[in-house]
Amino acid sequence: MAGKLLGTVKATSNGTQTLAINDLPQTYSHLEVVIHGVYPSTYYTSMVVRVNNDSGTNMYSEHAIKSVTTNAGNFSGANLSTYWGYDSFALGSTGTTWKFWLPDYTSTTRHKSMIGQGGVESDSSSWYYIGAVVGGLYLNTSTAISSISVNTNMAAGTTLTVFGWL
Amino acid sequence: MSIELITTIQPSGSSLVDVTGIPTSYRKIKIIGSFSTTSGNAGGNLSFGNGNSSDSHIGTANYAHYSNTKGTSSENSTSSFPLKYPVAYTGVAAYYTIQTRPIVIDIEKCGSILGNNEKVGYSILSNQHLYSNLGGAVEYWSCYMTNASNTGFTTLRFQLGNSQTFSSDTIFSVYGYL
Repeated sequence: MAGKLLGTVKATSNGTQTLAINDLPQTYSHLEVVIHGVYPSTYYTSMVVRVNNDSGTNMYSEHAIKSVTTNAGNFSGANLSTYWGYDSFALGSTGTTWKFWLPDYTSTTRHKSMIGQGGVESDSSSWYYIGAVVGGLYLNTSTAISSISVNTNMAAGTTLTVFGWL
Repeated sequence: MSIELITTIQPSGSSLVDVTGIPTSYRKIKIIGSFSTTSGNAGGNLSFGNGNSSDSHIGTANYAHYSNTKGTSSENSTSSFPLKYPVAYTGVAAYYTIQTRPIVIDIEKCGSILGNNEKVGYSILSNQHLYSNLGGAVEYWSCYMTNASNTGFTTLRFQLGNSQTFSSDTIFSVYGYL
């Protein structure tokens, strides 16, 4: 079996909180990360996704192609930030699933790349039914990725799961 | 479903690598990897396919949709391998050296077998953040290929253009889904 579950954490109550998986083994080639859950209020909220609990400035770059309600494929954004999620990761009031890859996450010589896809649905009738493709960088060349976290206002049952791929 | 690692290749110093002997027993092939080139900003666009340059139907439809800091766009072409619009570009004018900013690819090919006189579609997702501190580009490519030889194919080829070679930390992992 090429993929192995490395960890999963689940929110047990509603509210703003952090789900984290730490001490990731450095013995796989790539990581696959899945965030699945619900925003416990109306519409949607952004998610703060970090690696290595790194909140440094200009450490994260991301770019997304989004389909937002009826505006298909004509939205894009980019930023340098203290987290991933400024332009991409959101949690909707009806349901959300994001999946992203971190190839070569153990590298100590290059930035770590990220690429993924997600779908967000909220109870807003005006907007925020989203399908998106997102890519990004963790702008740290010397440190391997050993932990992943997501912080936002989330409903009980929201999960963060990480798989290791040989 | 069972997923097996078919092979991991690290084509350091090469401009072309073939993964041969792909079993035809898988229902889906998935490739995850990241690559960069050895010569900085010169660029070397990555093509991906079965590598049969004599097969004029390989790459009959090569479609690209991309988004970058200048907006979104789409392109398509008719070409043989190497593809006119490769899987990923490294030739973007760069602020930073691209050696430290690897491009990611996520490629899937579904179907009963590889080839065997069937049209084969590849879903290709790539990402690159190469220039400016405002970010870079996300590209979504769908590359549609046919096999005219009716023999199927069991080779996957990764090829860099512009006389570029893969960096030492380039890695492509090929998985098979039973």
